[in-house]
Amino acid sequence: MAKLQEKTLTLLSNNKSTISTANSPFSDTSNDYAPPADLAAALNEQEKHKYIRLKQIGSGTYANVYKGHLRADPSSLVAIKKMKVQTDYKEGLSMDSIREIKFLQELSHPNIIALHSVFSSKDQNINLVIEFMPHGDLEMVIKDHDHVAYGLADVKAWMGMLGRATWFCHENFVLHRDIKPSNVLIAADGQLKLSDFGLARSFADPYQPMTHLVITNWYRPPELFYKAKYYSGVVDVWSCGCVLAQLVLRSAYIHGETDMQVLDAIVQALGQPTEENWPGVSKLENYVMMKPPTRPLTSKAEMMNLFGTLGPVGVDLLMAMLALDPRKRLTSKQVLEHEFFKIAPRPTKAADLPKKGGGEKQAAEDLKRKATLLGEGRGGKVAKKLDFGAARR
Amino acid sequence: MTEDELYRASSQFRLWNFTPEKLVSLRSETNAIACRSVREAFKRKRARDQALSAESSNTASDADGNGVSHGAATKNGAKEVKEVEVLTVEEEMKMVDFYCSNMLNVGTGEPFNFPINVTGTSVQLFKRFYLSHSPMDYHPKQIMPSALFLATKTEGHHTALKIFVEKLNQVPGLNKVTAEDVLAPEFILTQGLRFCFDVRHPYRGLKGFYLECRIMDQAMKASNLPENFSNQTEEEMRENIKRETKKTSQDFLADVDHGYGLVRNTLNNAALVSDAYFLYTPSQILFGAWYLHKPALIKYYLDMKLSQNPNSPSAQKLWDVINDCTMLLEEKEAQIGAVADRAQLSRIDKKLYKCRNPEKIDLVGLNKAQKRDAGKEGQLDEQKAKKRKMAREKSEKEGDDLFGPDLVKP
Repeated sequence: MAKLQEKTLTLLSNNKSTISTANSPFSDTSNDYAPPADLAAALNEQEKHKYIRLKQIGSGTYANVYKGHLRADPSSLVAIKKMKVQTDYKEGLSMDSIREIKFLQELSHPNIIALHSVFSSKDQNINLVIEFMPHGDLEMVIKDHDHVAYGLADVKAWMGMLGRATWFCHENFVLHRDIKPSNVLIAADGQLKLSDFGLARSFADPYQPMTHLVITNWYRPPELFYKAKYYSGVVDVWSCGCVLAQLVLRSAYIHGETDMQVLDAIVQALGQPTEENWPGVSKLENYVMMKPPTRPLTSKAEMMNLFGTLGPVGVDLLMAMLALDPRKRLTSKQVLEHEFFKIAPRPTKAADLPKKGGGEKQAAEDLKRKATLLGEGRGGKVAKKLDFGAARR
Repeated sequence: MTEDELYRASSQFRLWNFTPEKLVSLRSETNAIACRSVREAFKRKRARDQALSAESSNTASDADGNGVSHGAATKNGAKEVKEVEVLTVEEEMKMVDFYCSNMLNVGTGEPFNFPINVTGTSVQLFKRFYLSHSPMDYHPKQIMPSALFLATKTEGHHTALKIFVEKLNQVPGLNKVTAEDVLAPEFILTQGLRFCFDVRHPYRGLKGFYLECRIMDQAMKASNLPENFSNQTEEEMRENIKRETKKTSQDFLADVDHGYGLVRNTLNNAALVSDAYFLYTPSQILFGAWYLHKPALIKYYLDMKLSQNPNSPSAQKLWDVINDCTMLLEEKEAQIGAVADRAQLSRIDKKLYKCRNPEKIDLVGLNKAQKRDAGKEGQLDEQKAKKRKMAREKSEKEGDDLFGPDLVKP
């Protein structure tokens, strides 16, 4: 004890002596200097130096996005996503950033957004260098009724690309858990790129519970509304099914303000989950039976009314992706193997797919085509929403 | 797409897989750089101390009784002119190894009880970090809590920092670690990991192989081999297993269960602490561990599977790799089992205490400085600079005390 005191005293007196030399002419040079760079810090500098950051093109809660390019090649554009330091977050690097970086580092696929590089800036902000996506996202395309027309072959091409991205995630034991049109970006060459892995996780081991609080609610499968703790890749397949439906309708298929309303919308659209059509569903924690009369499962005929433009095989696919019982839902692999992708029409080549902001000329083309082909609609009312004639160029 | 192709796309393979020679040269390079920077840092420190003491002896005449301590400082300064004695690569590795075992105990033991993928990942992140950093620059004691915390986040097992620190403080030797201490090295750590957080473990394979054994067990008892499982009929399988492993349908599964426990233990300890993850794939490590404990079973299983596919890679090549991996695991297991050479470890620790880079000891201060000074380097006002210097000197003095007493027994 005495020894400790002595030590503390020495410490204090030393501090005092430091103070007493405060005005020393040496204090400037002797105090602060940059520590010599580590190997890792040098590597980081090197990465950082490869890119030039231009103007800001977007801003969100978690990140600012800048346009940029390779220093060595100004024509090679990139987006630089600078993760914001969360001032109210006292846990170090945030979970969102960690998830996004972790999974993008691993998943290299033509339909998953490419992470070119990660570096940190001086203030310890982490910058992700990702592909530059000049054509926005799928939601913009869907919403832009006035300028973008697309048809069955285009839908098939997009669903194929989204399907391959989803399958690739699952093949790597990754659940995306936030698939929706605004997270599907369109590259310069027309390829779709699945992005935003902020909610992704690795497959859990059997019996290891997961959170049900994932996936934007319009794209969330019923089992998650019922608070299932154990689920699989088919949660992502449901989301893809919603995207497919939305591509046809050109507006969200299942929507509502609150979770309860969305769940109700699922029941209204597809039927009430019951022990008959989904054995075991009543054991899920949050299972609710909507008030009777029970809405039966939607029949194929009913689905054909709404989605007839997909053709009977396409509607089969849609219904199998939106099966209420997750065990009956297609896996992402089965989606790709589905007959829909084997029959005519062939999916449009990526480069020929319609894009948002395709220039005045393109927009005019689309308008022209729409005008001449509206009358040909095969599915009555729906054809006005989805212009299938446009596919036949 | 084969599993092999998937693995080759992983960051674990792209960035953290080496030939034994490359691993050796990487470590000696890191050591050489650290030695140089430590010597330079000490040189600067000596210059600073000398300047200080020269300056303070000028003012000593009108000082208030501080003369004694100044005298001591001068004496120290004179002594330190002797070049600082640095750690060798072997010594660095011993330290890192020790803290790996330590971290395993902390993560899997009370009060954390983290699942093995969390602790295992933290050990691997830690080992990766020390491929490009030296314990002389960053003491393993400082990095360990941070690596463990980071792994809880990367493995989706996030524990609130406050609770994490509370639990950490219950661990003997880590009772003084603060939340700041945990977070301060996080940035250096993530940078050292080159912003790759994914670690591929053999645990999925462990369970998968167990299920394969269950299938074989069922096949030996009844005729129900799944399609494409084997070229052998159930009858042949029963015969072959009996001939090669001396196990019948009665005691086969019990033998597998016995092996499973041993293999899991090897994977949870020796495999993590050793260089296995740097040198082999998760499945090679898995089979290496099984080969260590149940060679006949693995021999039978792999031969059976390899004969199924005439295009499979050379069996000999595969066996060579598995053999090497088994030897590595065996050696590490023996080391872990043996009484740790406490005397040697404490000798290295003492040596490390003297050669720690004086400019990198105060990670909390450095971290703050880096965040604060973003964009205005060298613009520190004197007041702040002084404060920081005091903090640095204080932690230099406290040195090891920061993270508790001397080495704790793993």
